[in-house]
Amino acid sequence: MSYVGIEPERFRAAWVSGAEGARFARVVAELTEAVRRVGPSRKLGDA
Amino acid sequence: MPENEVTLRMRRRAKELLAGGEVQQVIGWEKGTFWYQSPPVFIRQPEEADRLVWDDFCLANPAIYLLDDRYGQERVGLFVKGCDARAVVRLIQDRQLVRERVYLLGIPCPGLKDPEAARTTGRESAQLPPARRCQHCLYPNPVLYDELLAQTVAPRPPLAPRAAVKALEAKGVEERFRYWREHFRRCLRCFACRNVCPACNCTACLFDLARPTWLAKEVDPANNWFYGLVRALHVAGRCIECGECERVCPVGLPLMALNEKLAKDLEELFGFKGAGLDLEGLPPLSFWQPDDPDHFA
Amino acid sequence: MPWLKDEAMPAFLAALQSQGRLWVPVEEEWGSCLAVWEEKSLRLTPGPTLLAAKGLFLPQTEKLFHYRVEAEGAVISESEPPAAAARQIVFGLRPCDVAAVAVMDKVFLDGGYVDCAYRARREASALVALACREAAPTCFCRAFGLDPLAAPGADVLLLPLEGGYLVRAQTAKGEELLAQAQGVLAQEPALDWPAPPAFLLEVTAAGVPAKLAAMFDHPLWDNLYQKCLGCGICTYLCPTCYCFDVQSADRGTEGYRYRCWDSCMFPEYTLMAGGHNPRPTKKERVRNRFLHKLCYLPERFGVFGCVGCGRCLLKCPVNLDIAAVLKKVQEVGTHV
Repeated sequence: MSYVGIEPERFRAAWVSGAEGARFARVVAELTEAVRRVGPSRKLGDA
Repeated sequence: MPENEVTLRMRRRAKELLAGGEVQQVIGWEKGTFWYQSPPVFIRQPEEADRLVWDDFCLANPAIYLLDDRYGQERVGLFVKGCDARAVVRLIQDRQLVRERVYLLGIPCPGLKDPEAARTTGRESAQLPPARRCQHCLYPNPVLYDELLAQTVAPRPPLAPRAAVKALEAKGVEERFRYWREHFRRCLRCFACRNVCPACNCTACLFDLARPTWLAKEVDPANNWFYGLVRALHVAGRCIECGECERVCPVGLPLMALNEKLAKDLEELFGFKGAGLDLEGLPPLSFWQPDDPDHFA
Repeated sequence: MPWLKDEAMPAFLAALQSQGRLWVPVEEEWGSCLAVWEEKSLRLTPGPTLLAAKGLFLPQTEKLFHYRVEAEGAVISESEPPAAAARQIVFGLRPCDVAAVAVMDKVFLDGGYVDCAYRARREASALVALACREAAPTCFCRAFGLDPLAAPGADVLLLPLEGGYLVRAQTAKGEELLAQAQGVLAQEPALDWPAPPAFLLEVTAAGVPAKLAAMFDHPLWDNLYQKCLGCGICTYLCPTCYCFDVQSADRGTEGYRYRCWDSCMFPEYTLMAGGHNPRPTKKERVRNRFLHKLCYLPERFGVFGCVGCGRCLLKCPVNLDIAAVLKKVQEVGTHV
């Protein structure tokens, strides 16, 4: 994503087992916060 | 009409194969409207074999036409350069083709010339630059064949391998965004890059589906990006880097800068040397191993 | 006749731009197209621009209306009232491109249904044509009886001569345009009418429509299509290919309907709701494209759907050459 110019903060790959509910919640919460910080992506819409 | 050794051998072997009933059809190249064009030709009658040529402009990959009759029974004689043979390997690996259906006449490829330069400069063949994709070809000799029509050639040291990717990687995210935006905004969505691609061999393509509509028919930056990026990711690890997508693009999108980036990543992550090099080596994204890298854990 | 000196071109273009949005041929790294004129952006090369002018009259994607579902029913609002189409001047169209606009006019204005969005853009447009003193290698407009030194459908015609251009208003709209540019035009010097350019491709379409009318089942089509990739390059670069699709973008309780270019080379083009496809393979699609241009359109509107601009010849990745098809049709016997 970064290679085509999309902020890397918007993308994350993580390994979460089906048994790791708490970890899953944490990963999603962190990503949500990270995306919130960079704000709405207007790049493609306004391009 | 170029009548070099390879051309003469092509014609002779095509005649023999067709007359002997070993194949029902051969696919090669013939001369086109202009001297710098050698489009694909389909020969069924031995007496038509004299249309075949081998010259500096045989860029088209005849292997993709095997997909037009992928469930057929006919045996096809196929002339293959290094890159074309890799396409055949990929089609066999993807179960789109059984090996017995093709008789491969391999042509070790000295590297082809840039037809666009021929058109714009009018210079004769020997003075033309190599076709872009041939500048960093590592596998000029067919990797799979039934017979070879010429002596194998030594691969030339690639000129500036992955130069476009490295140049882009050196830029900042915003600059990269502007670069791709300027290119993708003019995509016509003609789908030539997909249709010419041997890695794009799905029987039904999601970009064609109307219900549901994954890709809107609106030609706008968002949909153009969606198409271009998803296609690049979809062929990651299966792209043979033949450069046909970039050659056929009517508006000159630097598509290989996407494909080469993915190839470079796959090489760095999995030590992958390239798709379609032999029948056993599968694309790294199509199987799993316990020691696969997992930096994202 | 008014005379435009080479060095007065920027002033002439500025005079045109003062009357509307001015599109001129420009050269990009990847090819040529029409773009809004900027100081020094004009680039004239033999033959037409790679991207045709048709998008200025029939945009590749065009919103038709927005809709919203409310409690009382659906509310529909037209997105771009076509009457508001901005005035535009298209400069540097070659005779083939002017002829192509005339084909589009037949379809969208004279075909029994007047397309209001197309009409609004056409009426707001003035065409300033540029005669061809030199042909590109891919040019073959003469096959269709076009004169490379004339452009009958244009509002203004520029004929390049030594040192400048002869300028001729051909319509009232053209005269209006030139009235604003009087200051930069001089009087015609004594010059000889030039000879037409030389063409590399020798081909004619004479007699082809009648012959094709009996060739639907001809074996010619059995191998002509084989190398076709089924991509849309020829149709999207073609200045007369006008086919479009109408689709909806649904976003829950609201959305919009748009039209966009479509290509008869795509399988989905003729795919019907029940799953049947009357043109199931490339053979039927390739045959239809050539029959449409060289037989159906002449039958229906009296014009060829090809103007010999050579764009498809230039960019078809497999050299499926319509000029060669013309020749083949003339060579073969019609008896199957």
